[in-house]
Parts: sequence; C-alpha cells; structure tokens
Amino acid sequence: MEAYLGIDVGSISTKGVVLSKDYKVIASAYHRTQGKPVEAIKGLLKELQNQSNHTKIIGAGTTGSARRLAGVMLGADIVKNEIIAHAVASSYYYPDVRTIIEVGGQDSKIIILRDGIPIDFAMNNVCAAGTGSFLEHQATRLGIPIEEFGKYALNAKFGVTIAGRCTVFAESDMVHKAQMGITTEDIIRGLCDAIVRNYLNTVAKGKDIKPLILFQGGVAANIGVKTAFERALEQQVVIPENFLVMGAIGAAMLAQEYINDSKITKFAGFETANTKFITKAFECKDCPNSCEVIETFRQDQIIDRYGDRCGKWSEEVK
Amino acid sequence: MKVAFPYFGYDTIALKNFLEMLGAEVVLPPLPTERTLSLGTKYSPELICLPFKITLGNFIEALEAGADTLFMAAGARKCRFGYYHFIQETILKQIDNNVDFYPISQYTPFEFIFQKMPKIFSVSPARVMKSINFLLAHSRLIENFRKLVRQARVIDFTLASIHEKHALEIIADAINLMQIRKARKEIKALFNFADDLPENIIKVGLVGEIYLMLEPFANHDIEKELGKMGVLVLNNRSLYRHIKHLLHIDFDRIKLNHRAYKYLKESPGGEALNTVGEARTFIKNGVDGIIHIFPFTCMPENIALEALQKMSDDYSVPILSLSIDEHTSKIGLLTRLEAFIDILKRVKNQKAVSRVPRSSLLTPH
Amino acid sequence: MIKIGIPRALFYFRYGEFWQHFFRNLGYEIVVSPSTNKQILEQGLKYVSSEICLPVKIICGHIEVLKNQVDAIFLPRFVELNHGLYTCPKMIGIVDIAQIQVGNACEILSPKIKDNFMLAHFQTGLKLTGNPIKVIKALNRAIPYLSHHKKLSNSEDHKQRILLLSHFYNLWDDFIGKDIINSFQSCGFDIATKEDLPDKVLKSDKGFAKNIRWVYERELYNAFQYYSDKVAGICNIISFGCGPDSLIGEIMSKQANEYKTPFLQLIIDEHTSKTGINTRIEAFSEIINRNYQSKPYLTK
Repeated sequence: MEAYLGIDVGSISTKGVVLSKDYKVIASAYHRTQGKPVEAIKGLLKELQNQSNHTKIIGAGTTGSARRLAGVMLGADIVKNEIIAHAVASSYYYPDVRTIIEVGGQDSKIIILRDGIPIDFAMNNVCAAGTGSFLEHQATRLGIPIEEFGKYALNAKFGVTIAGRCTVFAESDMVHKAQMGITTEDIIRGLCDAIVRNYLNTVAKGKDIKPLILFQGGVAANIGVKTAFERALEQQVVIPENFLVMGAIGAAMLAQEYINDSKITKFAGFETANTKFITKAFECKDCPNSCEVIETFRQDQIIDRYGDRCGKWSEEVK
Repeated sequence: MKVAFPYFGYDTIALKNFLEMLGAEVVLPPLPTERTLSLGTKYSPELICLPFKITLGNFIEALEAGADTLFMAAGARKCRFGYYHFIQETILKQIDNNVDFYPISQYTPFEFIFQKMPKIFSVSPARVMKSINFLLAHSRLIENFRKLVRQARVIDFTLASIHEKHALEIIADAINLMQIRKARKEIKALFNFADDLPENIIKVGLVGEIYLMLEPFANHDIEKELGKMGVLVLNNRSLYRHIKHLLHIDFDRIKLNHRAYKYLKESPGGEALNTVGEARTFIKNGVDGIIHIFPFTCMPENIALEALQKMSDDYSVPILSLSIDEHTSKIGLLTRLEAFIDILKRVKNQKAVSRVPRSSLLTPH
Repeated sequence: MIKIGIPRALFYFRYGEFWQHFFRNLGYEIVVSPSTNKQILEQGLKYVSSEICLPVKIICGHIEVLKNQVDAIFLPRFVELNHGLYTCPKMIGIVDIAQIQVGNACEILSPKIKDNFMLAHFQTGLKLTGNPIKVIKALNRAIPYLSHHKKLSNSEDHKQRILLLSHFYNLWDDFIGKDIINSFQSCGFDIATKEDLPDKVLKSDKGFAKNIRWVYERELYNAFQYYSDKVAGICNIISFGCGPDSLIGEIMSKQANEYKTPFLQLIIDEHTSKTGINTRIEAFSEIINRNYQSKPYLTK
C-alpha cells in the first residue's frame, strides 16, 4: 500500500502520521522532544514503521518549529510551516471550519479560514503564560497528573483571577492565592480562565472568531481549557479526533499535493532511524553579530547549516 | 440625555457636579473593578497603554447603566492620550450604534467655553464660565481634602478612613461656592487630629503620569497602601492644577519646567516635565524617596524615567519606578512597595546617605 | 581637526547622506558608526529602560560606540516637522537620554528642529565655523542628497507586490529590516515601501490623516491608504513599545480588514527570533498565494 508520511516537530513534542492516499490515518505516534529533536524523530520513525507494515512511503512532509532539521534528516519532499499544515488538515476533515485555535507546547496561534482557505492568522508574540509547558509545570508543582488537570477545573465552584504577563509572575500570583486558602480546584479553573483570557486578548485580538471553532494542539486534551474557551466565546468549541497530530496530517497532505502522483519522493526511508545524525552549533566570530550557526551531520558528512545572518555558512552547503 | 465620563479618582465628584451645573443628567458607571478592566482589555488594541483600557471599560459599563452621551478628554499632540477617542469612539459605536461620543479637546479653552459646551447643553457661555469657576473651587476643595487625608492616614489609618467617607459626602453635597467654603472648614475640623506630624516620619514623593497618580483603581490604591505603612505621601498633581494649566493660569508650571530643564531640555509631551520638575522639588524639600508611577510603555514617562535615574544618582535619593498594566498583580506591587519603604527606613536610621545603584531599580516587569 | 560622530540609527536613515556631505563640505572629519549588530544593540540595552522601543535602544548602542572616539556627536532634536507635526516623545527625549549617557566623554551637537530644518543646520554650522558664507555653500552643495531615498520596488516586474509598512529607522536598519525584506523577497514578492511615494501623497492631510499629528505616522497612514488596493498584502512592522504605532497600526489593521487586504503585523523587539519572523512571513505569503489562486481579484 502506498502512503504519505507527515512529521510535526514542535518544541515540546514530536508527532508523526502515516496517511493513506484517501486520507486515513494508518499510523500515528507521539514523542517528547525533550530538547533532542534528532532522537525524537528517530524514535518516532521506529514506532511509525512498526505500526504500518507493508506500506510504501511515496511522499514525506515536515512541519513544526524544527521542520527544517526534520526535512533535512528525512529527505522530505516538502517543508511547510505549521500554520498552513494545520489549516490544510482541518479544512479537509471539517470543511465548514472558520476558526482554528491551536495551543501547543510553547506557542499558540489562531487561524481564520473562509471557504476552506486560510485568510488570516496570528501567533503569540510575547510569552503569554498560556501554553502547554506552563500548564504542565503547574500540574507538577501542584502534584496533579496533567491528564487530570482539566477535571479539577470542572469541579471548581468559582474562578479566581490570576494576574501575570509572564509565567514567573503568574506563578507567584498563584502561590499567593493558594496561601490565602483558595482551593486547588478554584485556582486551576482560574488558571484555565487566565490562559483563555490571555489568548483572546493577545493572539486572537481583533480576529473575527466565527463557528465552526476547532481547538487543537496538546492543550486541547485539557477539558478545563476547552470549557473556559466555551465560556469566554459563548460558543461551542470542537476538538477534532486527531487533535494532537493535525499538524503532521497536514504535512502529509501537503506532501501528497506536492508529489501529485508524478514526482518521485526524496524520502530516505524508515532506515533513517538507524543512521547517525549529529547537530552542532558554533558561534561565528567573523563579525560582531556573532550568529549561532547550527550544523547537521549525517554519518560525519555535513548536510545542512543555518542560523547565519549573512548566509556565507549556509550557502556553502547548498 | 444621560451623560457619562470615565472615573478620575476623587475628582470624579467635581466633574459630575460641573456637568450637572450645565444641566446634564449624569450617569456614573459603577466604580471600576476587575470586570471594568477585563472588558476594556477585551476591546482595546493589544499594545495600548493602561488608561485606554480602564476608561474604555468605564464607558462600556456606563452604556450598560443607561448612559447615551459620553465625554472624553482629547487633544492630539505628542502623547497617545489625545488619540484615545478616535479608537474608543469606533469601538463604542460597534457596541451601541446610537451613542453620542464627544471628544473634548483640552487645549482649546475658548472653543470649549464659547462653542462646544453651549452647543451641547444649550447654555450661554457665561454659564459655562460660571461652572468652570465652580469646578475650580470644587476641585481645589478636593485637592485640599486629599492632602489632609494623606496626613491623617499616617497618624491613625482607621480613623482617617472613617472620616474620609464622611468628608466625601460633604464634598459631594457642596453645590455652590458658599457651601464649598463651609465644607472646607468642616473637613479641616474632621482631620485636625493630624495637624502635627511626628518628626521622624518617612516621606515619599509620588510623581508620574496624571491618571495613574489620581485614579486609585489604576494605581492599586498606592496612597492608601503607603498610608497603611505609616508613610506620608506627597502628591502635587490634581485636577485643580490640571485645569489651571489648561486655562494657562498655573504659574507653578513655569517653576517646575525650569527645575526640569537640568535634565530635560524640551518637553517630550505628556507629563514628563512635570514629573521631573516635581521630583526635583520634592528632593529639594527633603523627601526620603520618590515613587514614579506610569502606564507600561508610556512614552513621555519612559523618557522621564531616565532623567529621574540620573537625578537619583545626583542627589542620592532612592527612586522606585512602577510601570503598571493589566497584568500587574497587586501582591507583587505591595512587595515592591514594602521593600522600598524598608530601604528608606534603613537609610534614614543610618543617617548615612547611600547610593542606590541602577541595578536595584525595581520595576515590575 | 574636530571629529564629528553620526550614529547610524534613527534619523540617519533619512538625513544621513545630507549630514555627511554637509559636515565634509564644512571641512570636518565624519565618523559614522558601523551598521547595527548584536554587540551594538547589547550596549544600548544597558542604558535604557526595557520598555523603550527597539530603535531607541539601538541608537543608544551607537552613541556608546561613538562617544569615546569623537569630539562631538551630531544628534539633532527633531521636535516638529511639516508645519507643526510632532515626531514622538522618544525622538524628542533621546537627546536628553544621550546627554545623560555620554556625560563628559564628548559633546552633543543637537540643534532643535521645530519646522526650521535648514535654519537649524545653518546655526549649527555657524556655531562650528563662524563663517556664514562657508556654511551656506556647504548646505547648498549638500541639499541634493536630502532627497536620496532607498528604494526596493521594481515596478517593471510582474511579481506580486507586498507593502512593507514601517518607519524608515526600522526598515532600513540592517539589523531589523534586512531579514524581513530578504524573507519576503525569497518568497517571491516585489516590495513596495512608503519611500516609493512622492511627498505629496505622504504629506496629504485628507481624510483621517488630518487627525494624525505624528509626522511619520501620517506618512505611514497615507502610504497605507494609497497602496491598500494596489498590493497583494501589507506587512506592518511595529517595534514593541512604539506608542504611535500601537494606535495607528490598530486603525490600519481594522481598515485593512474592511478592504479585505491581507494584513500582517510583525511586532519586534530585541528578543525577536529570526525563525519566528520567518514562520510568520512564510505563512502569510502562503495565505496570499492560496487566496490568489482562488480569488484572482488580488492581482492589480
């Protein structure tokens, strides 16, 4: 069976899918990036290979913040940013979608679509104290498993206001509220409300939020945040079945669009998981900009360089 | 016609009485709360300064309370404040299309007296002038009251709070010049327990942007909080002075601008010259520290901040800079205030004048 | 010989060439600080409050570079231009900040410009040389360089055009603007800027523009109005903490919504990462292209 591969490498998690030609998810996998994208991608590939026997990958796409690295490693046919990937996947499964709320590990975005075409988007500019890693950190601090975090919010009697532009200040405000004797449930609901409020006041500011509203990304697993969104927007919010891997699905779809049954894939195969990759960084001292240049080696051979403002290092490889 | 305008600290009463003298029915929105701020933030541009958000919240709540005519100070110059009304009007018209929104330019007193007010309220310019005269007297009364209550808080905070409520009733009831004269005496009598202040008291000069200095909701009640700590706050900004300035009869300004000249050779707009001039005056008159309060990303005050920092080095007086926005948590603010006052106390006790290095500048962000 | 330093920041990107020629004609040695780089920015960060906008932080870095190698730094105080229009509080106050920053290391030459650009320069020249005829000659010979504006647009091309809407001191500073310009160009766009437009359009006071009393904001707004139906998309680059932009940017973004012109607001500060900018620009150009394929009305 022929299929397409899509990989979404985010700052916190790495997601991948194998997608059949009629857009069915044959295999999907989720890994922690943990600051080691190369390892995460390899682990992901192994898992995807195990799940999808007898499939032949005829196109591969990557997306996410490390899309470039993943693209170089895999020999991806197309490297696209996560906004387009999310939009493409969502508008296939939900043709009526007009708003996509995506809250991931370290950033959050809004995508506005009309008639299935993305027309506007925004991403968080400043640290919005409202992303997955912050929630997770707070869950750990309160000793609650992240999976249960949302349920606590549902049991709250009322929400408290948590102030704070950034995670550090929000946390100190939470600590203080707890010291005042406010219950954990109420604080968690306050936190969910704060995340939603911050999102709507910064990322989604001035955007025309119309139904159908999809909520995806890692934080969509948190029922507390979902209900907080519904409360604030006074509308129903839908969480797609594959909310975690929508970006990866989009990447696979974009690969199919690109290959279009005629081009031959550059995909290096699942064996890439066994290849040795090394990434190194060095600071170029040739001018006062002191750019940090990132290099990627496959089996000790340099395959990619980026990060220089002037382009003299990256062009050398091309 | 039901008229509303944003809160402006204690001086709200004076503005309300002024409009009522012109024959308006004033609908005051509920006192600003967290709800006001979050309503305002919801509709405001992301990067705009705090007064925009609170005043917009006031307007929205005023509409809910039944107001149909809104007044906003305007006058486009260097500072963003003069441009607020353009965007606020658009936003408010989206919420309620039938609302009448009147931007009142601050810098054209003649137009105000002879055209704008007579046209809106169908009154004679003479009546407008009479009302302005009353507004001056009334706001002067409030300025005087604020000074007394600040002193009283240091002596007995609880008693001061009780008398404060009483005094505010007296102020609200004074609706002619005779009554204002009477009210002044009564208020003075109320607070006479604080006539003599102890010698060793910590004195702090408050400077900054006028809205943040005068509106307790915006500044998290900084004057009260400091009073609770037994600190005497000096605050020379008031609606009374501001109106005098707009009528070009505030001669103190000349002195303040002159004092600021050492640090700022040209007005960067807003209240920056005032801030620097007042701070220097406070230091000359012997305060223990200066608190500089302004909205986050305020343009003129950020220029003033640099000047104040230099002044702090020159005169060895500690300065606390507080830039406030909707994310500011009251607890965080209080922690900074307490720490700052502790530093001032130590400095005072040691009688040694210590330099406060720049790195210890406490800013909330 | 007296050495005069000119920081390569803020107003340099509009008057830089004029200044260099003017002072050279007067017979002074000119030192222009190097293009902004990370090191310069970091020096600037030490001197000003973190809330201040990026271009002001940058110029403080340039002043730091210059202060020990020149006798005087030329930094005019632009207060009013174009018949009573203001620059902005920070442009006015930057001279005072610079004065505090340099202390006694060197002098700061800062003629006050209140709608008297030429006179102010004449007075500065006179103060330096004491020879009015020499100054007038030097000014005369430098005047042609006043109208030298950078341009990127190539109207012969039939590529889609993007309007980059930003202050000249953001756009033409290599450290801020270069990456953004490159990104758009590599996405295949032709770039229009407000520098392409004649003064008559930029200074127009028709419509809402007459309410805007900030001289450069009015230019941006006029450029926006002029281009809004002539380009495939508009990218508004705002530095965090820029007061005027926070207001006018909002007005423009609302109007762009009404005109249905794709509008991207990039908010930049010293923490902005190149990757973040690229992701946004890529997504934006993708959106324009996808719109373009299905809705051909955007081709003009």
